[in-house]
This record gives sequence, C-alpha cells and structure tokens, in this order.
Amino acid sequence: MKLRASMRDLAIILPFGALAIFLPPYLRVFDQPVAVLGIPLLPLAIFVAWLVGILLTLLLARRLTRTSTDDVEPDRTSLSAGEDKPPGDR
Amino acid sequence: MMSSGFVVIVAALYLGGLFVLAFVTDRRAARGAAGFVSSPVVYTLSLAVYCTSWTFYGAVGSAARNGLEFLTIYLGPTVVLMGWWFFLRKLVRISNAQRITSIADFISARYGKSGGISALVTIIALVGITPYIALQLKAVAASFDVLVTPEIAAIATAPEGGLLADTAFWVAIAMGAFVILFGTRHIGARERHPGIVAAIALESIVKLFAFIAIGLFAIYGLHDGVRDLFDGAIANDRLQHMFTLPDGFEGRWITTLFLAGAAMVCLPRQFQVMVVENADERHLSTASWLFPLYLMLISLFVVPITISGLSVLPADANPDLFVLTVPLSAGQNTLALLAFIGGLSAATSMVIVSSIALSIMISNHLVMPILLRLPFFNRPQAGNLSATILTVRRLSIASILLLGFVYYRITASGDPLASIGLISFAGVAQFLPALVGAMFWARGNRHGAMAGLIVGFGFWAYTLILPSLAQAGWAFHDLAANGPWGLAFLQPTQLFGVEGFDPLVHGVFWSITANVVAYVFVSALTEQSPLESLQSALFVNAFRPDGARMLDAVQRSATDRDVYRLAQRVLGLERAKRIFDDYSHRAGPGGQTPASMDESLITHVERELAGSVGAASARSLVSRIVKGETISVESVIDILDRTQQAINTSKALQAKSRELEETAQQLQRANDELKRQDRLKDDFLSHVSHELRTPMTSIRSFSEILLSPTPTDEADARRFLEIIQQESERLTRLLDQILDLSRLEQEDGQDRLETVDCAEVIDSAVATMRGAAERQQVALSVKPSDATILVLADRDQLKQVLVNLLSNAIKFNDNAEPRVWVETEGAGDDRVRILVFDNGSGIAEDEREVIFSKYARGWNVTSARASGTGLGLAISRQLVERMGGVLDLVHSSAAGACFAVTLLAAPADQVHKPAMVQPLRRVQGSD
Repeated sequence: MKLRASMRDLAIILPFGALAIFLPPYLRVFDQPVAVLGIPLLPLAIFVAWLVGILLTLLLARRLTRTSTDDVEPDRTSLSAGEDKPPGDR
Repeated sequence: MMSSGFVVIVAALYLGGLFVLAFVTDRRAARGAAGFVSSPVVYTLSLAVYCTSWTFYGAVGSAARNGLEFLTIYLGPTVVLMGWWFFLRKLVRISNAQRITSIADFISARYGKSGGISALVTIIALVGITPYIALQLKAVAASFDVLVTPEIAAIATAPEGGLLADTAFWVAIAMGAFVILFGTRHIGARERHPGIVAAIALESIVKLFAFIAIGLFAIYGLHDGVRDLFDGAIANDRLQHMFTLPDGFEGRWITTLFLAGAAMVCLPRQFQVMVVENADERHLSTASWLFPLYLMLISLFVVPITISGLSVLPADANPDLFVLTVPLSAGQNTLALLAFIGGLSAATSMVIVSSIALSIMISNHLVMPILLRLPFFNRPQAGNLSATILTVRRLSIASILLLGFVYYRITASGDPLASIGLISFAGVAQFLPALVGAMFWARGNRHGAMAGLIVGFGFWAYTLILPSLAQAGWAFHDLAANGPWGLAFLQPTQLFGVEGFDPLVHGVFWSITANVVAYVFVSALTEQSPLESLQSALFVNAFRPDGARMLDAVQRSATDRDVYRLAQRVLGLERAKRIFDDYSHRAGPGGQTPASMDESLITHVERELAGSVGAASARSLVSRIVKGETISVESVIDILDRTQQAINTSKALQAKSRELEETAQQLQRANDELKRQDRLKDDFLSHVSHELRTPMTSIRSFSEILLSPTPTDEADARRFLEIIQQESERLTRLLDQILDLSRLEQEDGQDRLETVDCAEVIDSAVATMRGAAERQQVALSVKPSDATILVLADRDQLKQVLVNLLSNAIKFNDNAEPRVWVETEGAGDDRVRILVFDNGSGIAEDEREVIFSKYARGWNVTSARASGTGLGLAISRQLVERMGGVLDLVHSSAAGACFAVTLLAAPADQVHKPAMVQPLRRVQGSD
C-alpha cells in the first residue's frame, strides 16, 4: 500500500521533472563547447536525459500496473456485466 | 534518377499491401480474433501517426535551419506520455465510459452535450487540419519529383502539368478509397477500425525502418562511423547551430514544446488513435515508454542525416528533402526509394487517420444535427439512419481530401513544411484549456468553454493565419503590414504593441492566454445546467468507484417501443435486438423485455447511440422520446460529497456532543442551585410558619380564656388583651417585613439618590434606639468624625438600615458591660464606611454569610430576648445594595462584631443633586 502510494507520487512527479530538464534554464547547463567521446555535449546530454526518462517511465509503468491491476480494470458505469463487450460488430 | 513508372508501381504495390493487411485484419476482427491488433505494441505504433511527412522530411529541414529546436516536437509528446498515469489514463477512462467518438465529442459531452461546442470544435479542427493534409500531399508530390528528376538541386515546388500528371492527385484518390473502404464499412459500437489501426502500425514500422536506414547510411556510408561524423561536423561552420543553443532561443523552444505536447492530445487524429481506438486502458502503460522511445529513435537519426546533408550537398539544396537527396547524391537509388516509401507511409497514415477523425466529427457534429432537425428524418416511419450516417461520412472524407488537395494546388508557394505544421498545432492547441478543464475543473462550464474556444480561435486566426496569408501575397497585405484602419497597435504580428517576438511565439502567447482567461472568467461568472453538473461530476471524478451511482440522479421514462425503434434506426436491427435481449436477459429469468424502460436501459441506449453519432446528437435523439427528464443536482452533489459529508457529520456530532455536555453541566449546576434555593425556601417557610404560630398560639389561647364561661377578673382580662394586641402587632410587623422584602427584590435597583450628611442620619438612628439601649443598659455612643461626610443615599432607608444594625447589636449583646458604638470613615477615593461595633460574643463562623440571607437568619442563636422577624439583615443588605453600596460583616470575634455600611461618597459639586447609582460591584440578585 505504501509502495503503491509512493509510486503514484512518482508517476506525477516524473513528467514534470522531465519537462524541467528539457526547459531552458537547465538546458543551458549543457550548452558548453565540449565534446564527450567526440560527440558534442548538448545533443548528447539531451538524448541521455531522454533515455533515462524513458527507462524510469518503463520501470514505473511496470510497478504501477503490477500493483494496481484491480484499478486499471475498465470502469463499468451503467449496466453491470457484459458492458465492455457491446453486442455490436467490431 | 529512377523511372517514374517504376516508382509508381512500387508505391502502388505498397499501398495495395496496406489494403490487403487492413482487409485481413478487419475480417479477423469481425470473427472475434483481433489477435495482435489489440496488443499494446500495435497501439503504440498506431500513436506514431504523430510522425507525419512533416517529421519524416521536415524534421531534418528544421534541424538544418534552426538546429536542435526540432527536438521539442518530440520532447513535448514524450512528456505527455510520461504523464499517462494521471492524464491520459483519465482521458481514456472517461472516453470509454462515455463512448466518446472524437475530441469534439469529448469536449461537448463534458459541457452538457452541447451541440454548439462540438460544431465549433469541428470547424476549428477543419480549418486547422486542412492545410496540414495539403502539406502531406505536397510532400508526397515533392518527394516523387525528386526521385524522378535528374537534377538533385532542381526541386519542383509547383505542380507542373495537368491534374492527372500530379502524383498528389493519385495519392489523394488512393487514400480516399482506402479510408472509405476501411473507415466507413459500418457504424461500430465505438468508432474503432482494427483494419486501419493495423495498417497504421505497419506504416509506423516502415517509416521508422526507412528513417533509421537512411541515418545509418549517413553515419557508415558517408562517414566512417559516429566519431568521424562529428569530427567533421564540429569543424564545419555550417553545422555549428546543431551543437549549441542560440541566444533568445527560449521563446520558440518553450512555445514549440508546449504546442507539440498539446498536439499529442488535441490533434483529432491523435485523439482518434490514442483514445477512441484504445481497446484497453493498460495499453497506455506500455505506450508510456515505448512511444517516447520511438520518437527518440527518429530524432536520433535526424542528426546524422542533417549533418550529412549540410556537409555533402550543395548549399542551395532544399533541406526539407535531405532524406531523399542524401542517398541519391551517393547513387543509392534503392535507399532513396525506401526513403520515398517511408515518406509515403508517414503522409498516408496521417491523411487516413485525419480524414477518418474529421469525417466522424463532420457527420456527427455538423451534418447529423441538421439532418435530425429536418422533418424527413423525424417521421416515425423514417428509415434506418445508420445508412444515412455512413453516406454522410463517405461524402465528408471525399470533401476533406478534395479540400486538402485544392489547398495544396493553390498554395504552391515554397513555405517550409515546419511552419505550416506549427500553425496547425497552434490551432488545435486551442482545445487544450477546455479539454484539461473538462477533466480537472468541475466548475468549468459550457459558456466558458465556448467563450475560450471562440476567443482563442479568433486570436489564432488573426495573429497566425492572417499574416501567413499576407506573406503568401494573397490577401490582407495592407492589414498585416499596418494594422486594421491603420491602427498600428492592432497589427497582427505586433498585437497591442508587443514587439520583438517570433510571430509563432507571439500568436501562441496571445491566443492561448486569451483562451484561458475567457474560459476561466466566463465559467466563473455563469452557472452550469443540471446536465453539465452531472457530466462534470462523471468526468472529474472518473477514477472514483462510486461514479456509476451518479447516474441515479437522472430520472426519465420512455416506452419500450420508442426506445427500441430509436436504437433500431440508428444502430441497425441486429444490434438493437442484441442490446434489448441482453437487457431482458439480465433483468430477469422471464426473458421478456420489461414493459417500462428504466433509466439504466435508456442511459445504455443513449451511450450506444453516442458511440455512433456523438453525445450531442444521441442526447437530442433520446430526449425526443423520453418524458419527464429531471436531473437532480442534489443527488449528484450528494454522491460526490458523501465521503466529505460523513467526515463533516462526525465532526458536527462531536461538536454537538461537547456542547450538549456543557449544557448538561450547566443544567446540573442550575439544578443544584435550584434545589438549594428550594431547600432554603422550605426552611424559610417552616421558620416563618413557626414565627407566625408563636403569636397566633398565644392570641388564640388568651382569646379562649377570655371567652371561657369562667369569669376572669378585670385586671387579668386587660393584661390578656394587651398581650393579644402585642402579639397582633408582632404578626403585622412580620408580615409587613416579608412584604417589604419581596417588594424590594422585585423592584429595579435604580433609585434616585440624594446627597445625605452621614452624621445627621447616624444621630437620628441613634436617637431612635436610645430608649431600647437604656432599657437593656447598653452604652450607646457615636464617635464624631472630623469633617462633614456626605454620601449618596436614600435618607430614610439608610436610617432604617442603621436602626436595624443598632437594634441587633443591642439585642444580641450578652456582655456584662454591653457597649455599642458607631464610627464613620473614608474608604478609598469615593467611598464612605459607617461602622457599627458591639462588644458581644460575636457571630459564629459558619453563620457569618448566612445571616444576610432572607431565608436563613441565625435562627438558632436567637436568644430569649430576641424578638423580630429575622429578616432585618436581609432587608438591610437589599436596601444598601439598591443605594449602590455594600453591607457586610467586616469583623467578628469573641470580643465583639463590627458591621459596615459602605456607600458612595457624594462628589462635592453634586451636593443636593440627585444622581444615578452605579453599583460598587455586581451582587447576586437573589441574595
């Protein structure tokens, strides 16, 4: 329960953190005339941050879906059973 | 250079392959074997319809012109996908529950199923997207021309030759056929199209594959690996902007990041694939990282292609076509053909999904509301509406493509791809405030959403569309340059004197802020209708488990025949029958359709209808057959507030119980007091009875003696009569004093006082008592004061008090040499004390307060000599208090007692003037 609550908080914080990294004040930090392994720092830093963000999202998504399968069940808002399989053609 | 016939055949084969794939998938889905199409990976790939030819060709062009800014277009959606848990998941859940068919439907459903809003959103989308579709056609035509033109640098910007020679024409025809075939085969339960999703997913793989192939070729074919690529690039002057951020990049960077994020949800085609086509909410969790990865890969390979293009190709080559010209320049025709197919994939997937999404919006929100008003479609015997809807959709698709094609033909100017795309993004971003408000702000209402959309759209058209039209040299040239009526501060690119901004930043800033302000303010100033309150509760609280119960708030009824006929007309015979069978199956074992339609079935049918014709039209259809629709806002609020209410109630209960406890304690105290008073009263009554009985007894016995037949001698008779008279007087005195006391208690204490000379009153009282004192051999004296002492008092009452005190002091004095004396002294600034001393045995400790009580005199200490009522001190205290003074026992011991009368001193200038009394202290009234 505690784990899940902290996961939820992270799920909200992560996109904002990612946004902050990709916004000017932070971005300027990497705007240096330096090359790492022959690759200029700025594009390298952006792509590395991007990849880290993707990995964090992946880990978080795994945790969230594992801990809350009940919660992700589609909502049944009107009739009870069978609502999610409307008799229509698909 | 390739032969155009060869290119056409490859393209046709590729598109034919898509047709086959879509066809097979649709067939499998119809058999219930959706299989891989309903997998999260396919879902994610279908989201990649975001990457159009604008990405495929335009990203490289943008990078070549503006450096790293192109990344924002992919970082924006990345951030939005990372926020899937609280944003996209809610969007999808609401849309599934409400059978949402498009973004226009979503916004309108939230704001009271308003037909006006959905129509407005549709029109804005149409205006914003048409140039975008034109852009795709243009990209296909341009890329085809590059492939078949011998000269690399000669880029055909204007379509040459006739209509039939224009590649874009055939592409548009093929796309139209594809969309009509697979997008409007039938009206589904939801607007889901598995065949199309499969085709889009395949196209996403193809374009990624093609793009990566070109990128790898740029790295390893044209350069000797990554290090070599960058070594050359760092040294190249034309490439410096790829590795640094220019000054003042912030405005455009933030703006494009915002627009790209907004576009991820607001573009009708993104909404279609991400929300409407979503088969399972859990797919989002995969897409949340897989789609950003897709975008990152595309962006990653933009860099080597751009570097190669700028370093290998001549300076005047069009960077928008580097993806093709880079392999072509190296003689890699096969690779160039792959790039062409990738670009074709990107363009066609966008055209397909956009035209489906727009056709659903046009038919549901523009055409159907009008058709449903026509008498022809409202006759009871009117035929099946679903056929009409499909026809409308097909016509809409054809019109959209035609519109896009016409736009492409007449705007053949060489506008860079990116600028058209961004203006389009800015247009659909106007949906964002109403969309976010729909999900998170319960107070947002229809008027606010309408105002925001209109204002935002207006500013967008004025600040972004109008200048671009002027720039293309079509119209408004004068207006764009000088402002309307020559008013410089209304100039579209420098609105209200805001200068020095990039036109895109300027336009987005004004349109979005105006939109948000209008939405929030108008919402705050106007009220929601009951239906809006219900919908807003369902939207904002989509994650709450008790959401379904909010539907209990709707009360309406309809006959089964009407509901059945309506369902049949719109959904078709088969589906209508199935809905009703399912319902009656669930309703009871009898298996019969219930006679009266309850709310759950009506809601269910309305939802199913909404899934086909949109919420606004479904509502308008249903409201024609239902009677007595009421939505009780109270019950919506009730359900929403139930938890909160429980907390509040328990808090209120606690407070109430504390209050009750206090009241109970107060009551307890009051009760105790009353009991005490009651006991005192009983005592008093018994004492008074006793006091009355003593004289009564003697009166009676002497009267009996006098009346007896035995004669009494004259002297005795006279003595008896005297006793009778004395006792009667004593009785009268007693009764008088009791009456006095109760009168004093009831009267208000505000007597008019006068200035009285103390010494005079004391002398008068002492004179009165001198006789009694002499009879009992008590020495009575007055200690004279130095000066005249004036007090505020009632002369007669003060004398009465003093007489009473003296009388007591004389009466109860049991000293062998009894002595009583009076002194006067000042007590503080404005008080005077008259002290009455005696040298008797004093007053027992436990009686010192009781003696002043009217109910309990020191009856027990009444000596044999004592006569009187025992009410003297009680009356005296009452009198003194009415004069604003205090009567108390200041000192008592075996050697004697001292009573003090403290009074207000009369101010010198108030001599002989009456004054209002201010009590010295508050004394409990009854004592």
